Amino acid sequence: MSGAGDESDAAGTEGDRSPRRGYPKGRQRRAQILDRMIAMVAARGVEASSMRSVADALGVSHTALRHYFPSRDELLVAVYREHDARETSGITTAGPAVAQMRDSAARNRSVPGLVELYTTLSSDAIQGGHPVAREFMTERFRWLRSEVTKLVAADQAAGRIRRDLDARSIATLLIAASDGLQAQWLLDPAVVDTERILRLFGRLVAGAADEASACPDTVATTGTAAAARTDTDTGSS
Amino acid sequence: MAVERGAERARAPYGKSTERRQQILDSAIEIFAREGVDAGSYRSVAAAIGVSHTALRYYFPTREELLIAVYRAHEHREDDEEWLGTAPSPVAALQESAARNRAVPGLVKLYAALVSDAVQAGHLASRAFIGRRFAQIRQRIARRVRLAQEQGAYPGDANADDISSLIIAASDGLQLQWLLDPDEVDVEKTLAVLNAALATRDAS
Repeated sequence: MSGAGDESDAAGTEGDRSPRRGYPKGRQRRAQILDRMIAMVAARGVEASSMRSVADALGVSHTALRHYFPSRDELLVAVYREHDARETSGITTAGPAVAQMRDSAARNRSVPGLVELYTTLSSDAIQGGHPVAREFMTERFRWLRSEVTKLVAADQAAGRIRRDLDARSIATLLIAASDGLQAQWLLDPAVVDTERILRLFGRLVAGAADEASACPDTVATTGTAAAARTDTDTGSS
Repeated sequence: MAVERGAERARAPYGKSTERRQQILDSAIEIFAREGVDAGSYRSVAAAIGVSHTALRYYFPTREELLIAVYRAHEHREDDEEWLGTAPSPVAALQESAARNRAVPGLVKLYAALVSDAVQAGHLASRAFIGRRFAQIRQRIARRVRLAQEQGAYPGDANADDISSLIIAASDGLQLQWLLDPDEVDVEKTLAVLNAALATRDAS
C-alpha cells in the first residue's frame, strides 16, 4: 500500500545510522527483517523480540542482525516506525480529531502486539538508559500534539468541538486518553472499550453543530451512537 | 490503598531480616523518587540502591517483586482513600495526585515500567498487581463520579465506569507526555480542561 515509497522513507530516516545506506541490497535485507519483525510482534508481542530470538526466527546470525540494528531499542523503534508508516490511514490532515483517534484504536484492536510494543517503547523512553526510544517518543508526541491540535482547531471552527476549551489541551488530552485507554484495554479487554470511551470523550467536547445534528463523528457507528446522542441532549439541557 | 498480604512476604522470620528488608525498601523509594533509575534492569536498580546484587535477590527474588514492593510501599504512604474522599471532584483528586507526583518523577517512571511489564506476556506478578490496581481505582473513582452525578455536577446519563476509565487514562497518558517534555505539557492545567469538559453544561 503505502509500500515501497514509505518504506524507503522510513529506512532513510533510520538509515542515517546504518552503514549500508544507499546500497539497494542492504536496504532490501533491512526491509525484509522489518517485515518479519512486524509480523512477529503483531502475533506474539514484544517479549519474543529479543535480538537473539529475532535472529533465530529470521535465520540470520546475531552479528548480521546487529549490523542493521545495533541495539534492541533501535530495532523496536524501527519496527514501530515502519508499522506506523504502513498504516495507510494514520492521522490525516482532514477529518474530525476524535473520530480519527477512534478509528486508530479500532485498527489497533487487531494488532494487540503492536499496542504492547508502543507501551513498551513509551515506558523505555522515560527510563534512563534508552536514548533512542526517548528521542523517538519525544518527537512523536511533539508531532502528534501539533497535528491533532490543528484538527481540533478545525473542528472548533466548524462548530464540531466547543470553543470554550483550549484546542491544544483537548488535543493533548485526546492523545493521553487514547494511550491510557489502550493500556487498560490490553489488561482488561472485557471491561475497557477504548472506542466507546473515546466516543464519550467526543460527546463531552462536542460543539453546537455536533449536538444539533447527526455528525460525521457518529454516523458510521452502531446503536450506541444513537444512545450517545440522547445523552448529550440531556446533558446540555 | 490497602496493603495486601503478599507485600509482607518477608523471607526470614527474624526481626532483623524484616528490618533490613524495610531499610532496602525505604532507600529504594528515596532513590526512585529522586532520580531516574532504569526500572527495566534489576542490576541497575541494585546499583542505584547501593546494595549487592546477592543481598537484593535474597529479599526480592525478581525485578518484578522488587518493583511491586517499592510501588506498593510508596502508595501505602500516600493513602489514596483519604485524598479521593476529600477532593472537590474526581478529576481534582487526580490533579492533586499529579501535583504530588511532580516531586517524585522516578515513581511515575516506576509505575510506567510496571504497566509496561504487565501488558507483556510472562510477567504474571506485574499483570496481577496492575490489573487489580486498575480495577480498584476504576471502582473507587467511579463511586466518586456517581456522587458528582447525583449532585448534578457531571452529566447523569453518562456511564460512570467509562468516565472513570477516561479520567485514569488521561491522567496516566498526560504524565507520560509530561515526563518526556516537562516544558510542553502541564498535567494539572490539561486535567482542568477535562474537568471543564465533564462539567454539566449550562443552558446559557
